[in-house]
Amino acid sequence: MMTGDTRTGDMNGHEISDERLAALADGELPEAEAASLRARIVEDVDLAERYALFVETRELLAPEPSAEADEGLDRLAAALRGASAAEQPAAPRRFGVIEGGGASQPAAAPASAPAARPAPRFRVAAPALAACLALAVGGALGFSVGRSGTTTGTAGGIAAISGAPAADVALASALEKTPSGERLAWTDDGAKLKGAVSVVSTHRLGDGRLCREYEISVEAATGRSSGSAAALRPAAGRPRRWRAAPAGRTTRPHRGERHRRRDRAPRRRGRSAAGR
Amino acid sequence: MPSSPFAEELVALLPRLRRFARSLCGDATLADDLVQLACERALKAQDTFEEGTRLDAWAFRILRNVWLDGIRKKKSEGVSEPVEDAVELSGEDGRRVAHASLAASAVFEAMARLAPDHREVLTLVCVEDMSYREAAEKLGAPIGTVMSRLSRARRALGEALGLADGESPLEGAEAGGS
Repeated sequence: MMTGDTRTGDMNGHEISDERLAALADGELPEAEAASLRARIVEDVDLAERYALFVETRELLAPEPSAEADEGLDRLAAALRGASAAEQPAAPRRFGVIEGGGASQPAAAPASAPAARPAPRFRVAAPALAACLALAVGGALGFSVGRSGTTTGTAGGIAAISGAPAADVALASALEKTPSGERLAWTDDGAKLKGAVSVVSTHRLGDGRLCREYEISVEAATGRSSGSAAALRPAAGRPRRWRAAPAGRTTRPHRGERHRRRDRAPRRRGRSAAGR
Repeated sequence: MPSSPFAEELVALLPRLRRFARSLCGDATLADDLVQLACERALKAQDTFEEGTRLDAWAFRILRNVWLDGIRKKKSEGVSEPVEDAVELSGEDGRRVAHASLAASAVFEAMARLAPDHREVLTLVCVEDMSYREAAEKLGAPIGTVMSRLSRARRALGEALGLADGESPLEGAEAGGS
């Protein structure tokens, strides 16, 4: 049998038993206990591997989920099909960040930059690091710059974004609701700007916060610019607010979607059993 | 260009992949990202999929590895530079694809070889989706017994299928890349 049980204790030195990990995988733990156990799991690869076994064995045995119309699944399916089409031999293709523009890479990008990236991804083109811009969106959006880098494109367009409320709305909405890889376009007639926001990736940081990396592009009469930044959302249990990484202010609170395997209230009866 | 038949098979698996991802990470948004990334890797690695084996098991293993990679990476790099971390995590790493293959009948056969009380509790909870309480009532056993049997049964099943941590024959030498 596995010796893994003794490797991982909780903060009081208690072991985290297989029974508790199985109960988490089976949706049998009360919400608060589940949350604290999950926080431990993302900090500990050994524990995560042990937990994965219980999720995996369950899923291999489980029946199909009941079919129901689901926008999220439709989006994933569309992305997958797009990636599959792109995967096939013909010209590798990146998603353009600019609507109709076709290319996410500014013409002025340094030669050393993203060309080296292996293959098309169905996410929006991963952050072209060498071409990252300092995005001056902090003022209007409550987000400050997540990362700065070489400026390419038209700096004027980026600077102007702080006067475009539509960009604010699009960014807040993208961070809260948009799955990675999806692009949210906006136009602001008042500021004579248009652009798009795409969340590139989502990660859980060590302290439990959710980090979403996004790309934003702006098109003005004078040209266009794009860049990337990251925003952080506090761990579950605290008010859900996005902050820029590493610093910034907040937008509206967000209640994270709660997930349970089945739509049942947490079972109290599982609690005492799970404590053993 | 149309998507491939292989991609369509993955599309059919999306509901289960997503359920699996949500169970792993406990967050709907993060789960969708895991699913996307896993599908991406699955597409790239489709040549390594063995016809006639379970595509779901293969894809679950990829998704699991994507998730574990994220945790591992974070662990090794610390959290002092979260943004760089995030960029790294989103990076391409086509090499780390597990080559898991489970024969179509493997789970059935492994279940058949389990101790009867293990098979029974696994069936009630994982196949029939009973709560622990319902399973305990059905078996006439205390919940604690259900829980310990269930976790031992899953360990046994996982080992029979080669899923157990650290010793998985499903992750061959190629999984490490070059």
